[in-house]
Amino acid sequence: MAGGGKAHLRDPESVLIRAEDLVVEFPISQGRVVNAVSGVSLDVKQGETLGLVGESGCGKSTTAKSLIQLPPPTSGTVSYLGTNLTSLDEKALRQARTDLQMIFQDPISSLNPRRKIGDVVAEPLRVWGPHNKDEQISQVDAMLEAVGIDPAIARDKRPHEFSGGQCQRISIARALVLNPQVIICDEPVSALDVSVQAQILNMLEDLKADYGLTLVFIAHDLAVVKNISDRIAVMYLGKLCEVSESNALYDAPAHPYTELLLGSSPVPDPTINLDITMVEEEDLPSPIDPPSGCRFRTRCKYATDRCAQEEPMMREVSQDHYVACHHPLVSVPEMAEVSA
Amino acid sequence: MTSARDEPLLAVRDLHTHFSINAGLLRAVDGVSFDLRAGQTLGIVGESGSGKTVLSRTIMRLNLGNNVHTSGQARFDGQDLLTLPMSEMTEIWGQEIAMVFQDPMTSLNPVVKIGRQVTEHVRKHFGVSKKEARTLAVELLKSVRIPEAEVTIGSYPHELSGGMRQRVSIAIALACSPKLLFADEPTTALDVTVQHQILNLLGIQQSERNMAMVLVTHDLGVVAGRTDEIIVMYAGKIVEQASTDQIFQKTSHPYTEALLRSIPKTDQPSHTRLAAIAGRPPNLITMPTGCAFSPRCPYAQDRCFEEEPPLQINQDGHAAACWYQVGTAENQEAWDKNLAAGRLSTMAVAKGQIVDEVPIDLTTGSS
Repeated sequence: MAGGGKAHLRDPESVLIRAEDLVVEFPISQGRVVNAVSGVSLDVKQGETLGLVGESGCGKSTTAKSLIQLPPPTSGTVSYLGTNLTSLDEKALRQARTDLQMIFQDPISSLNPRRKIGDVVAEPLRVWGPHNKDEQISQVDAMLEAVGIDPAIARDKRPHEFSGGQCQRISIARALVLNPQVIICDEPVSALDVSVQAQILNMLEDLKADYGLTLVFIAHDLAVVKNISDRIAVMYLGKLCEVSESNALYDAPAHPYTELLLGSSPVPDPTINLDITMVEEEDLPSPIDPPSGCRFRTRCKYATDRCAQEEPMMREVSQDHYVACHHPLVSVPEMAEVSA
Repeated sequence: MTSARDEPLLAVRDLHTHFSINAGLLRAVDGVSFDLRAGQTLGIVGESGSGKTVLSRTIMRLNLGNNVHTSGQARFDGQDLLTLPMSEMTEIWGQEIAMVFQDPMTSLNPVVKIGRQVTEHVRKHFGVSKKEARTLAVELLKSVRIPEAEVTIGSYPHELSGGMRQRVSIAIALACSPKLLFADEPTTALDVTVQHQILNLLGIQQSERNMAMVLVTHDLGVVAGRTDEIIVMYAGKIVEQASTDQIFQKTSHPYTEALLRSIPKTDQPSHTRLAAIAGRPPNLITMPTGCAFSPRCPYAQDRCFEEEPPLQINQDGHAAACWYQVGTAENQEAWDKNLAAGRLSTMAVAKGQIVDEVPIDLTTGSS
């Protein structure tokens, strides 16, 4: 893993968001820093769904949040429709963020328990207008209807009167009410039952088509990510491992870490040959002191000396399929070797 | 009577657990029976609120309070756990039957060092010395593959990752070599890679110790390939019970089928429309008449709303409680009929529509 390099980035003219060399560091005691994100470059096209996948602590949420400057990255740039968000002043940034909304993992705690649903969803409108009450109500109602919640019943209720799946849909309505371009979904289905998860995934697909949305979808479940994404970026310990069109990633994973994730994903089929012996001795290395070279090498069964010394760069293995690995699992055309 | 050799390790018969609450009587577990033999693994699957956790807690006698009404039998090793005095039950906890809980953050004591937590049972039940306990703690942590076990016994839970904490919980459960282990959603809070390893670890320890295990989960992917038998629960009742292979290959109950279909799979292309389940699990206080799943079932007919189907067992030992079992001609007919009528819960499956409220009879069931 490791993933330096930007070979996977596309023409800046053709993308909606382009993040380059994002670095996010959190200072801790004794002058040390947590290297949450270490040089990640990403782009998302208009109308595309980018899946960000990796284990807890790999920096996927931090990466996505730094796209909307929450918090701003330590270094690196994020350009949205040609504007560099990292250089905007607070006022301009607030305005820009109306286009970039977010939904969170825990649907119940992301809604204020003391406020009525109608008020929760109307809050963005109170800040940004329209300030006319009737217009606000009609927009809120339209949004609630779009997520399959009856506004007449829900408007005066409070979050505890709804199930987890319904609360998640209310958060989606709140995110959509300002008519944003991009929605960042931070593990929106991880806390839900499978039956409810299916509803939310179907709904996100519908809303994406109806409102022309662009999604950044974070999850640790590979099957969920595949279902919703057009393109997937696999992250490990603050770096990108592999970026690919989603079907190709599963048909021919090129990075050993992607292979590990795929092998761990539970499959509802008892005839599948399950590796029931693998138990790793080591934990995820600490992002305070990440391994040299390729960060995945300490858990990689293919690792060699080269992996400890040299950080692999992103290179193309097939069309729109990029990997940052010295020993990828698929053959790499020589010509495709691209350095940063 | 059958001989001792044939007797199951755990035999649960007609178990009911009801809670009296302000709103009425909540039937969390409503007539569950099953057998578990030594060394076997049983998976219990269902959505939130299906009663799977209450079931395992009832058998463990962990449902305390004056408002709990339990009836039925849970015979373990020849004695009925439900009528055992609490003083004898404490001898069984940890020593004979152990439990691993969902959340390793809250099931460990945050102010007690790992080593002491791991050996607490052993010191209580077998009265071993502190020094012996220390050696044992290191051994146990090594058996669950915790690196640097000698150092870890002196750590506090917050110093470990979620996966390592769950390994500690497993070490605690295994300390007295129990005959039966309840694992209640042991991996739900964990990453897929950690989940895979924790499940592997449980499987390895289980076969080494010839221990029986009950694996409770909402994810059919977790139990596939890791259990001998599966029970699917809905609204406090068993709706389908069969060997793991049969559950997946000859799915008979529409609820099991619905759960399986709603899971996204890596071998489906991107943007595959998922078959959703209409409605929500029923209120366990005011249950509908007939089959509890009927309002949400894409195949439901008049009979389903009126008459509750019994759990019927076929010659392969495959049990299901449904009038129109999946794979039968009657089932196909019911589907065609409902699809033509545009029933909401049928459309939810056919088109992936999102349906929150489902009518509880057929006449108003069309969109």
